[in-house]
Amino acid sequence: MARGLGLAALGAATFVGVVACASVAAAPVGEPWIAADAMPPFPANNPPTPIKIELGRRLFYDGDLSWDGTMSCATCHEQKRGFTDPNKTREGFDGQPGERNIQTLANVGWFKSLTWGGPQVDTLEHQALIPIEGLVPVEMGFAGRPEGTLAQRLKDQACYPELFAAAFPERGGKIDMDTITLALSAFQRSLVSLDAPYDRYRRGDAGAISDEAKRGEALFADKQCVSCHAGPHFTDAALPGVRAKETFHRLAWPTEEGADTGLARITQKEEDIGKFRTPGLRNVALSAPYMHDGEVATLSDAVRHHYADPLAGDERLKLSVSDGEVADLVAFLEALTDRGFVSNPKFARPGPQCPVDADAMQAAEAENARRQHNSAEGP
Amino acid sequence: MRLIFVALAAALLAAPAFAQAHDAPACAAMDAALPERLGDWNGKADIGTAPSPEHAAHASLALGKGYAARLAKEAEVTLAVEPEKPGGSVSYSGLFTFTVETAGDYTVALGAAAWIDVLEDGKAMEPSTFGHGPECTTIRKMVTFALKPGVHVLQVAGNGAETLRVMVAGKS
Repeated sequence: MARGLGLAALGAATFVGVVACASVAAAPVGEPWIAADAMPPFPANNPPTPIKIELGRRLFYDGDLSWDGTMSCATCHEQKRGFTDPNKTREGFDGQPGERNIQTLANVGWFKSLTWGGPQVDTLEHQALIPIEGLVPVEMGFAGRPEGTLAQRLKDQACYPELFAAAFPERGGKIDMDTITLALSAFQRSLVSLDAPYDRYRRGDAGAISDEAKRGEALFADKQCVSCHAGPHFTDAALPGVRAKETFHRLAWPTEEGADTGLARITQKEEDIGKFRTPGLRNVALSAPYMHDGEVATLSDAVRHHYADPLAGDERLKLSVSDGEVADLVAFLEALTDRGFVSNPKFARPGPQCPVDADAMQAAEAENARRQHNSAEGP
Repeated sequence: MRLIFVALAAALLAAPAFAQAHDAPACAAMDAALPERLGDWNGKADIGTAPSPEHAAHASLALGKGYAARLAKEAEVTLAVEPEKPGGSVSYSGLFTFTVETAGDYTVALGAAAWIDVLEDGKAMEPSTFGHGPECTTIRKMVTFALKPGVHVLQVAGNGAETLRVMVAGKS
């Protein structure tokens, strides 16, 4: 895994026991903050190129990635909502109920654990197969279908063979699940959101956020939010040096038989019941409803929800928050909305024209060379 | 307290993974108690899509009548507007019209989760509400629009099957 830019400078995390979260002190304004143009690390076998990212974008928005053509990745990951969905959970292509709330893709390239409940899903290339071919729940519906159906569907279209050829010359332009997921992952790593008002504030623009949001920032530390929603992506799942399983935490014990047991579904350990991976908070004001099951409708209630279970067992969750403090915390969270990100045409559904041309090819090669040169470890 | 946790843990860990889906309502029979304005939902009248907006008037839906509409492959229909969530090449699309006599709220009910647009004066309308159909019905999706009198285009995109149950109902 090649390393990207900048995060090492943000400070190392420390750990406090099994259920505790990473503790990262909030640096004062003016201290180094992640650059607006930082890019996440990428695997050695999947260096990003403009043409591969463009191919990934087209695949991301293509309904042909579902069995009956009705669902694309973007069906559930809407750009205007920070690449999330307004439903509690999302039904699969055939109407089967979803299980968990759709998570943001903002800055997902930095995340080392990619699902609410499964620390073993640690690369985007792996994750992409879950909605396409997964069974629990059924989402896009390719599980059990004849092998090669999706690839053949793409080969039969005019543009894709050219795009795959340009994006994967080292593989002879092969269209298969490997190259499909590699391209999808390259696009998702390009979904970088680092220019919210709070980012500008941290980079020295004192007027970029309101006084209410500044009070909320202080409360975010005082009320221990920062101990899990840590670092510039507001989740310990994106902190350097943190192991995936340590980014799963329990806010409340599930109380009903049949409830979602979270991490314990994978580990079958009592200690993991009710633990879910810390979600990132970038653009969180656009991503209602909240929590792993989408059962919390508003941001203010989501804040209160963190302190709602007297049996939580973690002293930090026994803190109280007043209505005024909740309002300040919400103002802070609203300052994490990156309007440029949710309206960036580079991330939007592409037009119908096939983008392969000589200029694009040349740009792809130049960009590939630049990224490989800039990568700390190289591909 | 520890005993409670252990007992709960045993129950939760024993629960099958598949038990975590939504609680679906127990329905004695589907479509047995349709709202009055959706009473003809199971009419399943036959109608075929128009191939393009210019021909949409030939595929006219009567208000309050349930149809089993025949759609066409996505590439075979020239859509009136670009849908926000188009389907893939294997999905089906359709173009229909319906006529509104009195301004008010009108609901498009669908038997699948296809993307729909209702056009007024050539522009796609913003829905006033949308959501699932009533419980214990085969209506999967309902979208309501506040419409002026006139002929409106109903555009369907991204349906997974060639046939789509559809109905346009006024407010009762």
